[in-house]
Amino acid sequence: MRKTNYYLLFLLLFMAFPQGCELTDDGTYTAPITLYERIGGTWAMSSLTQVDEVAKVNDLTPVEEALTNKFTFKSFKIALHVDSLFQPTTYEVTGTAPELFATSGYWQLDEPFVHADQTASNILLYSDEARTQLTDKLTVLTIPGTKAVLDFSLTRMDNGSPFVSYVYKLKSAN
Amino acid sequence: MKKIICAFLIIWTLPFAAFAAGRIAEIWTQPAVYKADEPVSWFFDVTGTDLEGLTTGVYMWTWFPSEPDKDHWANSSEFAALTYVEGNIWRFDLTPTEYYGVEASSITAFYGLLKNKDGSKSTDAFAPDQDPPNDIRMYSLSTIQGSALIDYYPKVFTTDRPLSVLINAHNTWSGCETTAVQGDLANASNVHMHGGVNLWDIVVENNAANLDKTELASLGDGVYRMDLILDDYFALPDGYDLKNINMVFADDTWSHMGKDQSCADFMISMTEEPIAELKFFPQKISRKDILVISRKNNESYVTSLTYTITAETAVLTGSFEGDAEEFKAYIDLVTGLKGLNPAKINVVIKDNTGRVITDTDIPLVVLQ
Repeated sequence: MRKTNYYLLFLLLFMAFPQGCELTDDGTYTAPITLYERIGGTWAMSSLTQVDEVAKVNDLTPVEEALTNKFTFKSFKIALHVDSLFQPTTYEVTGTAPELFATSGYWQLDEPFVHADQTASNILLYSDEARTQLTDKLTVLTIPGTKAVLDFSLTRMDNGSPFVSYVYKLKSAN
Repeated sequence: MKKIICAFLIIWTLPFAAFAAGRIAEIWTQPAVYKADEPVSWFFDVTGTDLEGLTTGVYMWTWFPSEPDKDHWANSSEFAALTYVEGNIWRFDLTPTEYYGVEASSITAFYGLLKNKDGSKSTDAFAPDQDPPNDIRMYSLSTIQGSALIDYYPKVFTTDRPLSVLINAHNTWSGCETTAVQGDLANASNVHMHGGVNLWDIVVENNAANLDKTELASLGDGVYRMDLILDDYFALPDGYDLKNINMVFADDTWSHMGKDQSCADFMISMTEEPIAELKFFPQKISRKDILVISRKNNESYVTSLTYTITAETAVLTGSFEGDAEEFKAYIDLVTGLKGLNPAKINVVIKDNTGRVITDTDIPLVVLQ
């Protein structure tokens, strides 16, 4: 009886696999939709908040400072370019805001899909096309969906501990 | 027999005088700060004592540091007589070392009372052990002879009573525009006060026409004293709301000057000032960050703040925004320190009076 059960289970699995991997039958291959389709584009400043990560951990005040209306942060725009296949290419920051991270280069996500373990995706910025020289990492806080907003944070580390973050809330400027 | 009666009378009257004759309403001295071998006037307001209403015949009876009019309780000597001023105010002019006939070093306090000639009326004692204190004090010069730049006495004063301001010319500053120098004023042959009140609202200048009025007395060892009654010196209008006294010292030709630390103007503040709170944000910072400095609860006389940040070859300057409740400065280190990689920044914050609020180094986190 037990032998029969195992046999049946194996048969079910065997049947399931080929079907899942089968190409669609419309004649052309369509790559799965990636985050690049949602994150690629030009984004403009809604708000910018500086967060004191040391104060946050130690219950000190203040923890945050609103920078949106300071200097020329309002003029901040970032264009995350993708090619026709929605693969990431270059990026550039325009406006006259203080340059908290490198203002041009190449970008990619650490994974093209939402992380299976629910951790935040990261936009990785590089100075070279081969993407060997990482300049900055922007952690995605809100992925654009029905609302065309992109939120990310730039966190600076001191010996592995975060000490300051900048939370960018951006709106689509396509 | 007469002597015995007299002695009995003294024994009988002393406790009476000490406990039931009325506390002297106010005591002050002119000048406020004096040395034991200098002439001084002691003033007494006898309102509320048994001597109230008298216009003649008030005498000094004192038993420490010595007893100059010993054995004359019932018939005070004329050298112990006070001079009537007005109302219930009496003045006693003396040079303490001469009046008491002792060395200056022996004069540490004064004990005594005021009486009429025959001792039938008197005041309570003036003595350091009264509670609250009701005595004739001598300012100790040790503070100003040490590392202090300025001091004043009495610590609680009114505009109609003598005030002494003391400076130590060896410790004052000058030349901050080029190279700051300490003690140059000690090279001056005379020292004058360029003074003002309420952030120079009313000014008595150190100029040729004012040399007598503005000159300080030398007490030796670089210590100079200005004696003034604020109402008279600055001709303060009636009801003037005095908040602070502002001073810069110099000789008559302004060739030697004496100012506060970092060459700020000296200031004595009369108002109870809040305790200001200076904060740097964030707690740790790198050369690629925005630095936010805030100062809450500023003193009443602080109307603006400026900063100067230096790091290697970069000098960033600017003003704070906000008001006395909270001044804030947002400083873009990213742009300001571009191309540099300093290990620290030096931050100097000054207020509108030139006072240095802080002069501190902040280390920068080295980015990986």
